[in-house]
Amino acid sequence: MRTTKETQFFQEQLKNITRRHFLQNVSTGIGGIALGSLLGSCSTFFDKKGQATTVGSGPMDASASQYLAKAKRVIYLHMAGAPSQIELFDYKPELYKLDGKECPPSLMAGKKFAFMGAKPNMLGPLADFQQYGKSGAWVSNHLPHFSKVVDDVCFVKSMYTNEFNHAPAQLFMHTGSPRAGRPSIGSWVTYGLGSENQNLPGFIVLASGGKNPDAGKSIWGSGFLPTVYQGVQCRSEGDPVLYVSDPATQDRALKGDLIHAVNDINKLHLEEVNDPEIATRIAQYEMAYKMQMSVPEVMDISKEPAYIHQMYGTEPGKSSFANNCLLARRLVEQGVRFVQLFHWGWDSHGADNQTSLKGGFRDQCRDIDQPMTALLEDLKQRGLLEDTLVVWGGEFGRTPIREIRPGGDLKNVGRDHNPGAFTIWMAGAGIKAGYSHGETDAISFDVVKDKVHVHDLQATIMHTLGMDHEKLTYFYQGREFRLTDVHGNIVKELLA
Amino acid sequence: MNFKNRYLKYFLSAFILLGIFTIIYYTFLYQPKIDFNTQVRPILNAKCTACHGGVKKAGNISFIYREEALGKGKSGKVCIAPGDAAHSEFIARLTHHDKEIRMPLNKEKLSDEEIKILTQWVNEGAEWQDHWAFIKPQLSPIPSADWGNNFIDNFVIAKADNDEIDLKPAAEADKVTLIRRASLDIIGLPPTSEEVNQFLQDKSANAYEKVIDRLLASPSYGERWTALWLDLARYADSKGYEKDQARNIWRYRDYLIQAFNEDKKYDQFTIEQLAGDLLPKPTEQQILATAFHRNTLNNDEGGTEDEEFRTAAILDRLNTTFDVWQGITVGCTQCHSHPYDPIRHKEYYQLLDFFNQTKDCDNPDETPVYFSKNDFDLEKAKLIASQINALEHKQGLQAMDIDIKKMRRAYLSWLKVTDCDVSSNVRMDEKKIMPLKEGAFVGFKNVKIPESTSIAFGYRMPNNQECDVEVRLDKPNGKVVAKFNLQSSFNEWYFKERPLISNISGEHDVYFVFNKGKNGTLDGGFSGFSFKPKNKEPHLKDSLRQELSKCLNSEGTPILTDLPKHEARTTRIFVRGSFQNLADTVSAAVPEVFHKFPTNAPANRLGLAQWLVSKNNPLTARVAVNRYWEQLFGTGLVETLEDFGSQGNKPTHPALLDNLALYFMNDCDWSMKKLLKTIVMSATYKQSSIISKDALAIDPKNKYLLRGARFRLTTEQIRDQSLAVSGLLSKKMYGPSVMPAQPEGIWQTVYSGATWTTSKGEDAHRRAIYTYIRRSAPYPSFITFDNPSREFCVVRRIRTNTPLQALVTLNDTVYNEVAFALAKEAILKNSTNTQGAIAAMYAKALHKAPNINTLAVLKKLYTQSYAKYSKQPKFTGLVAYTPVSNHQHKIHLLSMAVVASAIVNLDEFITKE
Repeated sequence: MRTTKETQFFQEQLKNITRRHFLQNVSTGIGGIALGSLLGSCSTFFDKKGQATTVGSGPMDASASQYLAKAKRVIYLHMAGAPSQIELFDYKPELYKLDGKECPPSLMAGKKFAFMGAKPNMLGPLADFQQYGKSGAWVSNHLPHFSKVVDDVCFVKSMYTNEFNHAPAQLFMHTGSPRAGRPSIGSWVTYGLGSENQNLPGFIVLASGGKNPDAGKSIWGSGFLPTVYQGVQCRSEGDPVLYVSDPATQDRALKGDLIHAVNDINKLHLEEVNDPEIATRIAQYEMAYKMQMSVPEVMDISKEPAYIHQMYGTEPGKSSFANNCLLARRLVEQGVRFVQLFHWGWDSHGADNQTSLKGGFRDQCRDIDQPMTALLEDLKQRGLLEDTLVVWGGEFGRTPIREIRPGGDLKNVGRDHNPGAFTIWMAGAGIKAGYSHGETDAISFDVVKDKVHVHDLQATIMHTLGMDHEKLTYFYQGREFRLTDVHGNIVKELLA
Repeated sequence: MNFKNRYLKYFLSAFILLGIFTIIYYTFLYQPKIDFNTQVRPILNAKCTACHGGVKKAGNISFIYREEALGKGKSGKVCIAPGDAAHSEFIARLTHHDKEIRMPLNKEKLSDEEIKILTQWVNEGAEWQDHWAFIKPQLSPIPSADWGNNFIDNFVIAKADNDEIDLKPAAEADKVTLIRRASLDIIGLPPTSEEVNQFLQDKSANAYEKVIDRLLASPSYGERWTALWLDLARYADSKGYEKDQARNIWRYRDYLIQAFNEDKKYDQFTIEQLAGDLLPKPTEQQILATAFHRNTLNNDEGGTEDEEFRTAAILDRLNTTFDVWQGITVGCTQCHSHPYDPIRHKEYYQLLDFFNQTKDCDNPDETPVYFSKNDFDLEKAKLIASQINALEHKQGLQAMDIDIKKMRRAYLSWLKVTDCDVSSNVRMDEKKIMPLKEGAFVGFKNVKIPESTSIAFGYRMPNNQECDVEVRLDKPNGKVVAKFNLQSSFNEWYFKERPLISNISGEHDVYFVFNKGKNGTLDGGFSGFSFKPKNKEPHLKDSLRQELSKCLNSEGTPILTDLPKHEARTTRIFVRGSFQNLADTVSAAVPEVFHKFPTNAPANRLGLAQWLVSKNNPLTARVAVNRYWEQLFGTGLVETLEDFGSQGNKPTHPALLDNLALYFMNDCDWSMKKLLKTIVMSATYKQSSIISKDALAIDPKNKYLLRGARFRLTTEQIRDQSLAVSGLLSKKMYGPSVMPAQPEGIWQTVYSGATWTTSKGEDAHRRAIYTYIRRSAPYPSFITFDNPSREFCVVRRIRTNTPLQALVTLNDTVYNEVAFALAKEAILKNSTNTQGAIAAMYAKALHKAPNINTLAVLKKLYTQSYAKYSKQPKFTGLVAYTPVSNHQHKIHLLSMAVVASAIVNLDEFITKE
């Protein structure tokens, strides 16, 4: 059916229509099926003003993009706390020489810092760099695995943002606004494209590093979009999805009977009172049952072959970034639209060993290096990289200056927040492989060439999914809202 | 030819001609005058204002204000010349042959009909009308109708007749449905079996009215309507953002419950929440009411700029005020003039000035706060103090002359700055002082100092600042016993401990003298101090003292307080909405499109509140009655509760909306209970919600209100109803928020040690409004059912229907407890009769007997479960069953609980019918 829908939609693309119109158009084609079979969702769907109307097509039904898309799904690896670009990808030979020298006041003028004291010194890169692959990409010695796959990757070294504190910057990265309350990018994408698997949530969030990201659940919230589009956090410990486990006194077979009975009575009631909302509820209970079956199954990595575990460095049952990378692959394989990983612990101020560039930072690198490399290789060998977009990055960058604080020197080595420059990378569907975009100045403090703003990145991600970020809008409180607010330009150079 | 005849002939011809002309005129030429709001504005909004509105004034043309539309555009030509379409560029551009010039640009040409309307309107003088919502409600005569109980019904019938809707009103719902509906609507809880029976047996004419009066008088009424208001107030028990630390603001929630229960008039209710602190001699309740606007987020993340987040908070206060009381979004005018509605960029900042004068400034300590007498447990404190005295072999306290300050001085080692006796050149706040000058000091008399070697000091310093503090004994210039050099604490509360220069003990006056540091200024807050005893006290006294300190200390409730006049802030326009890019200074005023600010009202928050509840305000009453309508009928008369502006939906029943608004202000004198009673007494409300095939075809969304409303209950109602029918619901009201069971691992917030400690006893089963809401990790089952996370005011919850909701009511702990409680009670009362027990559970939940088919399905589920449990002994170990507890009984209980779980998952249970 997808091919039909795609073909159909391809014809429509010139009209530049929105998803809403699209759904109304196709619902005549596939309308009756869901209701009749009770298999697909025939649930409530929202028209332009957010009012619920029941139509044949559900809010999570897969639909084609506004125009032909390269990417069908996204895996977004967010490094919460903001990793240092200077120790990973943005090679700055000049900065080694400046190490320990007093920072010229001209550098500090007009800048905002979260914690910095009066007279800091420059801090040379605490890493060795080398060029790798045909593309000659610079990668530090902290990511030995990753250096092997650089020819599949597109680096953006000229990222900048407006925010210099974690929570607002993370919100900005994921919702396009520094204040809580807007829909996240995953919500926009599932709102625009639905999900290809109705037994699993379309937007799944996995967190590792011991903590949830600073901005909490608002960075995967649906904001003013219907809650059906919010990210569902899957967990490696406890219930993989909240409330998906049966109470201790029930098992699957009993639950099957129970749901059957509920639906039988609801069907009787539907005949009595004729409310179409009951038909929706019947379908949703059916789906809930299927989710109870399919979520634990997809979340169980123990049955993966040994070579896969070796490749990712996974240990079933543990909460780790490696496990989440493998889960991400399993989820996109099952047609989940947007998989969002958060790995916390990159806030390398140097206040203690955990946040030291010589200590905790290196452990963090070890935690991600092998798994994220394995993820790219695994997606590639399965042919999934062709239509899966992978994005990696933090919420801002870090300063070339060593952080000191008034009232006491920091014993460990660290860098403060730098909204002026940071590096992200992308790989997969629709992205130019083996390419590096943009440049920072000699010390990686500011972007000097091909600046890419957060809204530009968002516009580009939406573009690879076949959606015009200016056209995917939602009418709320008297106006159309969109992910990129009133900004954002597609960075064409990044596209294959 | 006969003259007479000829004359007659002329006359007849003229007469006939005149007749023909009249016919032609009325058929083809006569045009009734164009109405701006119904005919012109929709075209302008749909086709023009996106480019020629408050944001983009393409070609320097805008159609938001008449005077702008009459001006000249970039081309130098007059846009609209009233009375002269031929010389109006506006009209010329609509039909221009050159597509590059024709409007709307690059879009399809307007239809001939549209062009005709606009042309005629210009020729008729291009008269402008305000959008309907900005015009005061107009009283309409009540149309006649042969159905109904009150004026609401007349308007409903009239609307359906007028639109020639071929449907009759539905019959009145049966009595069980009615009492369940009214109970869930008015108090948020289902009726008890006794209440249902009483109603069924009451054959008097006013039986229903008696039920309504009982419900309105119930204390549960306040709890139900508080649930709604908490969304509007963006109430939460934490401050938001990264740290998301606890906020002590539940007394505001309790204020709401009391206000609703005593039927506080809506105008007074409004004034108290927005400006209770500015009322003459405000009561404790009026001060606590102002916590409404202290529910804004605080950012305690290290290194944040307080002014940025103070600004974010006051912007939110302004936006929320308009969302809640005016049903229009002013948020977009933060950056530019309103794209569609006549509110200017500058006017936003004039409004902001009302809110810009409060003392609070994103301080981690939440100052200013209000300490209620109830915050301290003095009785208990006295009891503990006497226990400590007994241990120290001192005399018992003379109970009568003890106050909190004295108690603290006598028994606590940590003394707060606010307990000081003398001070000079400092500004004192609820929790701290700010030194204002070199040599500023605070002094504490008669401090009992244990034998000590060090002193701890609590302070807070902004970035890049410094201050020296000397601790002196007995006089401000007495002997120096300790020195502190305080540096940036990143604006957070820190403690610093310094050794004493010489050992001291005994009773002394202690002075803290503040001086500038080497490079720094004199800035920051000082919270208190403590001498550290050399020898640790015995454990027993330690724990007693800890308990005592709990009784004598309180966080206080954050409230609004204005800065003194001489410290008033200047409010300036933010260029494109950025607080760092400031333009002209403005002072408090209301937008021009609204009614005038009352002449006798002060130009502060109190005046603004009075302006909002003035009977000249076009929106306040409409928005309020519409909110009640939406709660009862599922959809507002204006469907877009959050937008009464020109982009929102028009009212389906404009005359009813206006009459109800006037009725609320005048006849009810703003009494919310009276308004509610009038609506639920209407025949419209009492209709059956069964949808006939015709109704489904003709009016699927029930726009015409010719049947009762049928929609899913809110989370609060679903949870409370389940606990109520199972007998688990606690009746306890008020107090700090509770933490009922939630899945493990929900709270994992960065840099915060807070943990979810599951409440025990009845606190595990309180009504949903008492559940602790942490913004970064809100109660997960509530979020699944569309509750907002309370970061911003949410005027309308969008109802969804998702599989995750099914998982909550199927698997969440509380619903499992409900199932077992229902099952146990049914078994106890029907020990020998399984079918009877099943029917009893159904009746408990839905107040009626199941029909034969439903009962058959439930019986089958019981049999299936019984068979499965019989084969799996592992489950029977999990239940205890009294009075008899053999294997069969346990299987019986388990199977009954499965049936109970099915019942609380039925559509008819989680839906208001």
